[in-house]
Amino acid sequence: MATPKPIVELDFDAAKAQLKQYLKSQTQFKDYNFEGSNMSVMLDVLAYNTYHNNFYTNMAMNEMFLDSAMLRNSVISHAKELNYLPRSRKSPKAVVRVRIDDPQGTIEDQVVVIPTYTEFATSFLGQTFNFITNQTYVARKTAPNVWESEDIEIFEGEVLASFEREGFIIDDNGVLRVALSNPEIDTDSLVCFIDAEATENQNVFTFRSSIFGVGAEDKVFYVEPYFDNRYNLYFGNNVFGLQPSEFEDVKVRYRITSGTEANGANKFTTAFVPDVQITTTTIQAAAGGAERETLESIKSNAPKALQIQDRAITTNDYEILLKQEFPEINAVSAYGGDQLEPPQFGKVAISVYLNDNAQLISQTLANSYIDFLRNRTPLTIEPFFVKTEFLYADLTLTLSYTSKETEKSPMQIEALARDVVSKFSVTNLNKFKSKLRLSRLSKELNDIDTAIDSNSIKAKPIIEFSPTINQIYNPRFVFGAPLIRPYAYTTTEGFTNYKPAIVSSVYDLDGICVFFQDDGKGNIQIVTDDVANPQIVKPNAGTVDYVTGDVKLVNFETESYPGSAIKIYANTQQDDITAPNGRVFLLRDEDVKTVIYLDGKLVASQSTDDNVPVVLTAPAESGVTLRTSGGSGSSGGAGGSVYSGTSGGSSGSSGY
Amino acid sequence: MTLNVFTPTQKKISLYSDFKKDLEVNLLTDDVSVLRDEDSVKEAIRNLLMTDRGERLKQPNLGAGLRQLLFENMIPSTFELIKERVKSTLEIYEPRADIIDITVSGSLDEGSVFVNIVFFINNREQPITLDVILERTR
Repeated sequence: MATPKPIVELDFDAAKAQLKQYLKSQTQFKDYNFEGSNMSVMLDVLAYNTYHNNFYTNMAMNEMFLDSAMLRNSVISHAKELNYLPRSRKSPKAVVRVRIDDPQGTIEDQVVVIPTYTEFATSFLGQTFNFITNQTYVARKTAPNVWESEDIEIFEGEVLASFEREGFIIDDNGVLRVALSNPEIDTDSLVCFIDAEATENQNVFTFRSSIFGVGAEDKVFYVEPYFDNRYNLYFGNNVFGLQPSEFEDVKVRYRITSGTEANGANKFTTAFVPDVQITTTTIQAAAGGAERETLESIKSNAPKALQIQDRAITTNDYEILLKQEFPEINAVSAYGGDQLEPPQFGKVAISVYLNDNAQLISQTLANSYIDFLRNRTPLTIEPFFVKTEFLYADLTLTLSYTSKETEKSPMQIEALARDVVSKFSVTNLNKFKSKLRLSRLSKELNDIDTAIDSNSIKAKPIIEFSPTINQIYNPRFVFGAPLIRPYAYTTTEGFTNYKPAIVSSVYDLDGICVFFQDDGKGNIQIVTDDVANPQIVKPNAGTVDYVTGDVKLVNFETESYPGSAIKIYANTQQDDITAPNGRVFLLRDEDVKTVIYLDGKLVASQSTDDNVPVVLTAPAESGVTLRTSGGSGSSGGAGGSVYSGTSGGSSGSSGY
Repeated sequence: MTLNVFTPTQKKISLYSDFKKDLEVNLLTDDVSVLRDEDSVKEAIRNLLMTDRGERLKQPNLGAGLRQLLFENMIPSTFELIKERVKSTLEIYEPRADIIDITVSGSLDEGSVFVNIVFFINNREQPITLDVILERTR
């Protein structure tokens, strides 16, 4: 009789087939292949038992490793081994100021105390939320019968206090643990009082994330994850922290929160002093609320947290630490101050991207980030936050589709294409160091509809510059990619066929509408925005390095410019665009132009932004290059005049 | 001319063999008793007819599902339905039995349904008859 083969398949049918295969080698019982036989019944039982064992073994083995674990409790248990504390829910934080008007003169003191856990109410998106302070503030008398506070930080949630000895566990090592029963906890808000009744909330123990520098007498507690999204709090067993004695009461107070739901709330009311009028001014709307950390995030961050050991040494450490602690941060870029212009040695420049287009974060947020980093950076390194820079892309999408397979109009196809670009930006870009891969975008455009025959994309990086009017700058813009160097500009050939590597949108200088571009020799020249007879106003306004894409302007000044910024376009050698260091890559709808062909005929060609000069390549068959120009800042118009670089070239872009 | 003479010592080759449902031991060989050929097929058919659909692990369609029909009215259409189910079940799951005839009758007094199946199996010239009595058990 043949030796039974090992079970290599995990499902029932395969296991049964393997058993049948084995039974073929014997002659005593031949009915294994007929489902009605007694033999078949027994095979069913054996196969089911095999399947059952396989399933449990497979599942148990999967749950044994962080990479393959599927159950949250297993993942959290592995994270605990790595000394990683999965993020709990986070309360949204808002900053407000309070003004108290007391015309009746009921308040006699110079200061009004705003106690810890003072409540503020807000109604946001049809729901009511409660915000509370987490420390005591004061409002000082600033005028007769008027008291005003400084910035007050308030957090969404409700305070809970446990005072139950039933939740306490003293484990085999004699360590006292307190199980916190509510999974909606924000662990940042944990406060622990020992022998609270006797000392009236005075004997406070503070949270520590590591045993570094903790002595036997220090009043600290630690937090560890527990099952079902709950947390445990434990003490140092009189080695790494003082442990409360057996009969002391331990009171834990913490905040429970709704997570992200109150993000954006910006109108608050409060009434902590009766019979007076209290006006609340919002300095910063509620932000930073987050749900508890996802499984994928824990799997990704736990090993990294072990690597960096809660210290910010390399640039990656800053990124991981900040993203881990502050869930509102979408992307972080950190780099040495030596890379700044001018260099700032001994500093680390950090830019953060908070899911919006804001270049600057509020001082409050920056301070909280720096406070967090200060204890984790080497002594001689000073972290500071710099303005977040963006890189955009000027996209020209040419879509060709057939009417035989769809009833969609060109406008519908265009809307779908813009939607694809928007989603692509969110999914693949919207962070530092990201890369726009045109082939991937092209694939997604093809998937819009089966009627799409082909598509092509032309992309150019854009950097925006928002100078203050009538102020002199020496700005530098780094595209970080080699540029297509044009033939050197000559006065004899003029601008007719000239294709600059760098070109700006229009702005006003000395009462003239101008733009700047390179001259093919490495210089930036300022040129009048004159369709018929463009003139060079300033031949040496800066330099461009065609290898690195580094553009430097000298003594740049402007009187006005349309929109919120001057756009600088680059003509890069590579089709794919990579965001240079410290810039977040975004695709905006206003930078997207579409050219739609239906059954081979041009039917639509549109842009959402007519205020910038854009070099557009017309349909291949026309072989012309078009340039459209909107109104300048001086004229204030947005007429969108059309002219062609070569004669008879208007047909390709008639939509502008 | 040489004649083949069968003697009792020559062993008949059986095409089908199965053990008994209760794993009965043969007292002579001290091994598990074996059902062979005709008996084996009869046992398999009986098993199939007594099995309800969904009863066997991971094989939800196996079985004739006759039990629920035993609570229907004892009328010719019910018998016809039982006959159809028996026929289709055997065609699918018992390819060894070449069905000749199926007769279904009932006894109101006993509350039983009698299924008579006549079939051929390979390697046997005579048709085989199998009677299965289906009873409601409470």
